[in-house]
This record gives sequence, C-alpha cells and structure tokens, in this order.
Amino acid sequence: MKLLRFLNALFILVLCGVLFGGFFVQFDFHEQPCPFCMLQRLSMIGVACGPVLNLRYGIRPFHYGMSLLASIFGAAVAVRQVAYHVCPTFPVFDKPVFGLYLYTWGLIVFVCSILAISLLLLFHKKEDEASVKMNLFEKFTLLFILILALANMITTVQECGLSPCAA
Amino acid sequence: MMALLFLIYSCAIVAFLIGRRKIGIILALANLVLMLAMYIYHINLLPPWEIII
Repeated sequence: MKLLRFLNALFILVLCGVLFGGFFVQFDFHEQPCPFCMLQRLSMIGVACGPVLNLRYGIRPFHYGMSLLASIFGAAVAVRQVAYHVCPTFPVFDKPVFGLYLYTWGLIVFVCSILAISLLLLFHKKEDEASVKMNLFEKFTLLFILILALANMITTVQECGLSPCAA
Repeated sequence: MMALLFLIYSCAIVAFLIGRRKIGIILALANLVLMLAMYIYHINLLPPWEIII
C-alpha cells in the first residue's frame, strides 16, 4: 500500500514538473499560453486532484475516476489543437521543446496519465482508511500542486484579466 | 473567466487539504463542466475546418 501511495505522490510530482516546464517555456521564450494551452494546464491540475484525494483520504476508485475524466478532457483538447496545427494554413505560434510542440507533449502527458491510472486501478486494494497519514514527501507534492495552481491563476489574470482569453 | 477556473481548482485542492472532501469534489467536477463550456466557446471562435484546410 505504501508503494501505491508513493506512486500517487510521484504522479502528482510528474504533473507538477510538466506544469513547471510550461512556466519555464512561458517565461524563457516569452510565449504567452493560448486558451487551449490553458485548458490543458487546467486539465493537468484536474488529473492531479485524484492522487491528491488518494493521499489525503485513502486510495479509492472514485478518485481515479475523477482523474480519468480530466485526462480524457485534456486529451480531447490536445488532439483538437494538434489537428489544427497539422493544417498547413494554420499559424504556428510556439517553439518546439525536444523536437515536439507543447500541445503534442500535452497529448503525450494525457495519454500516459490514462495509462498510469489504468495500471494503478489494476493494483488497487481496499485500504484501511484509519491508517491514512501523509509523510513529508506527500505533503510536499500537495503543496507544490497548490502553489502551481495559484501561480497559473496569477499569470492568467496578468495575461487576460477576468476575460475568457479570447484575443 | 479562465483565471476563475484556476481559482476554483485551487479552492478545490484547499478544500481537500482542510478536510472538506465533498465540497472539493463538487468544485472539481463543476470546474470540469465549466472547462467544457470554455472549450466549446473557444472552438466557436476559430474559423471552420473548411477554411483552415
């Protein structure tokens, strides 16, 4: 059971790394995220909600279901964006990272998330809920995802204010 | 509006951490519906496929 909890914490940490990478590209390349990119970031935070619940309240299939919903939504947004950029007349407004554009990386992350959640569900066992106690690493991951969600909110307010980022 | 979606997720995570599990779950699921609405809104702003292709 400890291994499953560790894997959940690691899952959050990987998503935090991807979100942090998005921030790095945003500030280093001076590229403001488009609305679809923001929706993908939101979906990544949504995917992290399942593992956050697992760490805080014990591992349950319902929590994985929430993550799966967010993963499928994020993958749908990423597929749509990739499909637009495949068209030769559609403008490309991004720089590739390790040879792939960020929306392509987003699609890879969501597909991997769906696979990871499926594998975690395969090894799911009913946990004694009284034994839920977080260690320092788990607390750190929860704090990290919360900080990233708030940081994304601040940069979005800076970019779009309270509008739906339609520009 | 987009910033509000990030704020709702932040509130959901805070709710999870302070022990308000149901409120957090409702916020997270409601946010997913709002994200879907935002997705449809932005898709309608883009030109149709026939023009892009």
